[in-house]
This record gives sequence, structure tokens and C-alpha cells, in this order.
Amino acid sequence: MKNLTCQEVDELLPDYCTGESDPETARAIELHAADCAACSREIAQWRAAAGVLRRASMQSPARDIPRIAVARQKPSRLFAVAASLAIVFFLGTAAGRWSARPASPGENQPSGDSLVARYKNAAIASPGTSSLGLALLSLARRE
Amino acid sequence: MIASTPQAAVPSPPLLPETSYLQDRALVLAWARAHGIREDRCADVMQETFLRLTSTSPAFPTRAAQVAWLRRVSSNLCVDWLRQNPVLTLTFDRAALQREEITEDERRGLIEAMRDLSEMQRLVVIAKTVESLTFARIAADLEVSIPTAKTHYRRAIDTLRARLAGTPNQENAS
Ligand SMILES: [Zn+2]
Repeated sequence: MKNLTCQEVDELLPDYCTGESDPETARAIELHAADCAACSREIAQWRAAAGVLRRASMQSPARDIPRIAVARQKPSRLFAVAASLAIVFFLGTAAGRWSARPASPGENQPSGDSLVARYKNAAIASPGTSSLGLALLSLARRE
Repeated sequence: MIASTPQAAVPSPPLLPETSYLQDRALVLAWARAHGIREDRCADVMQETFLRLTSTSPAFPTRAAQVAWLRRVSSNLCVDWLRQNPVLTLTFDRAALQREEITEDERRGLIEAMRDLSEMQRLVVIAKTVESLTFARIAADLEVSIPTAKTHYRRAIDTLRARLAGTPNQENAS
């Protein structure tokens, strides 16, 4: 196995620290780091930095909404968009338009009378209306 | 780690916006959280991202391109917000603080780093750490070479390390 220099280890860090190194290269890096405090520290810091980002991405929703933010929060638009998208989705499914079949490349362009198009038209016609309101407006027009 | 799309040889077609919402919202939330912003704002970023997807209906050639679009739009929304808002020190109750999976110092360092990173650096580092995509796949998504993707990752990690250590990264600070 080739003995690596500190410079070579440094160049290999993006692959090594993200698990993309082949096993032989990884072993060579580990052998070098076992005897090199500087590279060993470097690897630890790379992993720690990526670890912070990864842990942040996995924060549990209930864990980090401070009470002050909850109390201040205006009625959630999240609920509105979730509800409207869910309504649009389930009505589309019920109508058999977008049932379980896989989407084809052109399908993300809704046809003129699809529910998504109705939603979009309503959004254009009434900017500032809530998402839920738009979905309901869309449903009303469908009736 | 949250899987976005399979790294298959045959590209998958994009999903309808409402299907994408159901399938991708957890991923968009994870990306937003990776920027260090708090959950209520992450939810705002998520809904704004899907409102944009629904209202603009971009034509994506592939599912991967759709996911890359979601990643870029949500990351830019996060950073727009971070750049307009100071890092607030909010008072937590002690129990909540103890449950935190990242410390307040780490969150502050993460936010400061995310503010400093270029768009490409941000997109590479969140694709790598949140989705564990390969550099080859990230490079293809971003239409850059694999060495360039690795360079973006290196700079992002260097900046994050510097911010976590409390010292600005000279390269990105200049
Ligand atoms: Zn060394």
C-alpha cells in the first residue's frame, strides 16, 4: 500500500470524509492519520462540521420551536398550502385523472381544465387570497 | 439522511407538483433545517417552495432536475431570510435546550456559514450531508465537473469549520 503525504491526504479528504473513497485509499489515509496528528485533527474537524449540518437537518420539529415563536406565529400558511394541495391531489385522484399511474415527462404541464390549472388561474385572478381559499374557490368553480 | 431520487441509469420523469409535495416535503424541510433556521421558518420555506412549484410549473426534463430545482429554490429562500434577519438569541426553557440536537453555538456557526457560502457551495454541501449524494451525481445536477463539486464541498466545510471555531474563513470572507 502506498504511503501518502499530508498533501495527498488533504486532496483525498472530500471523498474520504463522505464515504466515497475506495477501501484501499481509505486504509492508506487511516494508516497515515494514525501517525499524523495534523491530518487526524483535520479529518476529525471535517467530520464534525458535516455532522453539525447533518444533525441540524434531522432536528425534530417539536424540539426547536421556541415558545415565543409559537405564541407570535400568525395562523399558519403551512396548513393552508398543505390542505389545498391535498384537496387538489385527492380530487384529482378521485376523478381518475392522476391515479396511481406514473407521471410521464409532459405531465407536469397541466392541461387547461385540470385542477392545477384552475388553482393557478384562481391564484392569478386573486393574488393575496389564502391558499386554502384559492383551493376552495377552485372547487367552487368546478361545481 | 433522506433519499431524494434513486441514482438510476435511466432518468425518472418529474412528478406532478402535488405528488412532489407529498413525496418531497420532508426532504425540503431537511434542507431548510440544514441551514440552521428554526422550525417555524423551515415550514414557511417549505410551503413557499411548493407554492412556487405549483404556480410556475417549470418543465423539468427529469425527476433529478426537479429535485435539484427544489433544492436550489428552498436553499435560496433560506439564505434570503438569513441575510435579512439577525441571529436571534431566543430564550429557551432549560428542558428544551437540553433536548436540542445541535447547540446554540453550533446553530449560530451554521447560520453564519450558510450566509457566507456561495449558492454552489451551499447546494453541494446540503446535497452531500442531507441526501448523501455522490459527487458525480451532484456534479451532474449542478452541471459542473466532479473536481469542481469537490472544491465547492471543501470550501463549504472550511467555512463551516471556521464559523464553528468562531473565526471567519479568510478565503470566503474576502
Ligand atoms: Zn499528515
